Amino acid sequence: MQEIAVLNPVAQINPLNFEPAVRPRDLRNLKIGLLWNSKAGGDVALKRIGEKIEKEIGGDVDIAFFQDDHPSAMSTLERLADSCDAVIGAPAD
Amino acid sequence: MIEIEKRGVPTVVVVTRPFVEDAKVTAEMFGMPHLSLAVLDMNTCSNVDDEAIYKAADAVTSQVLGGLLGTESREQASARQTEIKPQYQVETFRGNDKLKAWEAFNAHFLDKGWGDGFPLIAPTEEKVNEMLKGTKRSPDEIITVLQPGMGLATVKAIAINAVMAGCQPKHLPVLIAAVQAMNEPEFQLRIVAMSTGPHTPMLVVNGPIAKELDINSGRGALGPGKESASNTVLGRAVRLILMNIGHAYLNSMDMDTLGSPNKYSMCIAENEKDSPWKPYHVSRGHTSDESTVTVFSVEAQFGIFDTKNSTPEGILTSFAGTINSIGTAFTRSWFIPRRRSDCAVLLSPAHARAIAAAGWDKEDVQEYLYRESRLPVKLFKNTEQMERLKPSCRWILDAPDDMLLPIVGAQDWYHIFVVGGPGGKSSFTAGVGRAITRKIEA
Repeated sequence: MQEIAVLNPVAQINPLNFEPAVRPRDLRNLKIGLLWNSKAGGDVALKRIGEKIEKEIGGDVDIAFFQDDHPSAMSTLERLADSCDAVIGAPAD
Repeated sequence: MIEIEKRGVPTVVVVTRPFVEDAKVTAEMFGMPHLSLAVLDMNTCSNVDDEAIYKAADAVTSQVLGGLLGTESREQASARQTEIKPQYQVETFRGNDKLKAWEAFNAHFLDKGWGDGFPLIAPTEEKVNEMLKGTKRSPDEIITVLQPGMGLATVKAIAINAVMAGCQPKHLPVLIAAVQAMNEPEFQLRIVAMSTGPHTPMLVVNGPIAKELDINSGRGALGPGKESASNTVLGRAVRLILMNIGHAYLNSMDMDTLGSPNKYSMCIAENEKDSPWKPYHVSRGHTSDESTVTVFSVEAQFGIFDTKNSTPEGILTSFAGTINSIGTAFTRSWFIPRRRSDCAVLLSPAHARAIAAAGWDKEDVQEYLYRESRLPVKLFKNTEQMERLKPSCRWILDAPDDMLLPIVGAQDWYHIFVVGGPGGKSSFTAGVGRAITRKIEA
């Protein structure tokens, strides 16, 4: 039996590790941002989800729509983080 | 979305089914493996009617709500990043003879997704140590943390993939410079590596190293064959590096819809000997005795066939009429935010000499292409980019349908090289991002 030993080509990853944000118990009276990356159809999906959430909560929620390109500018993300209590994003195709 | 979560705002990411793995892998790579996802039960939201999207969106609303709501309060933790010491695992393969052991290695690497489908050279310790002699750098030196997957691009990790591709030690400095260039923010490697389009890096080498390494700049430079052996292995190594160090694997981060043979390997040298102009890297401020690698992203490639014309206007009219294609990403980038699409104009020596004989230089070529390669507004209005216009370009929505617009944002988006053998056949490539030139150092 013969053998060859080779080096694994897959590089180690050096990621950061963040804790997710604390979730509210209730979305009433909060502002929810919808972030669309301008890819076709994403706005339709987000707006529909926003409408359904509004209906579910009985109207006591502020849904705001945001559009940017992909990837989003940091200024857009900061604006969303500053002005919204929660964000729903559509970042892919 | 992770940037928003980092700022203490809960998020949910809505994706379609094919992008779930991509989302999970990306979330892990960027530090938030617990990112909340809601999965639309459809392939994409493009090219479908609204009713189909409504149905899928209705079905995920409870998932979205579940991702936004919580029952516990906990303290916000700050980011943690641990110092990683580079390590290189050893994999052992056995067989009745060395050939069978090698076949077992190839089968395993292919099965794991670590290869490009062609047989690989085994990256034994011996071969990698030999490869490392191609540079003065220390094996554990971290060249960069390579996007999109934030892999540690140590010299040794690059060397391992270079061996697999069939490179020799003398190729290693080119690869190190190429990795540095690709990871520059303006190159937009995340888009190149993760797109649903067939984007791939192309290397263009200038300076004395091209001859030292026998990088083909003449006939067949972009194709296979013994004349392009260095071209082939260098381009191949770049692809393996993107996969195994950048973690841009198909279906997890690389979401390319159709793929392209260009993704196997794209590397050329400029034909400085047959060029009537100064070399590209000299026009970028380098001296002629320096060697550089320029990295372009390539989504589209066109062949330009003109064996008739001998004037600049004639030849470049053939160019302009070939490259003005609405169906490519590069023609629609200049009017959307934060986008640039640098193009490589690969003039055959015959075309270049005819253009230069009329007293034209590279800037004249850029200016002509910018002026003449245009498309009517009607075609732009038919594209999704109209939803993404930057404020200064919103006037396009009200422009007459027959108004002609340029296909690039400025004439310097066209980068002129002389490449190829005899004949009136040139080429043109375009992608996203800025072309980045990097000096090659030992």
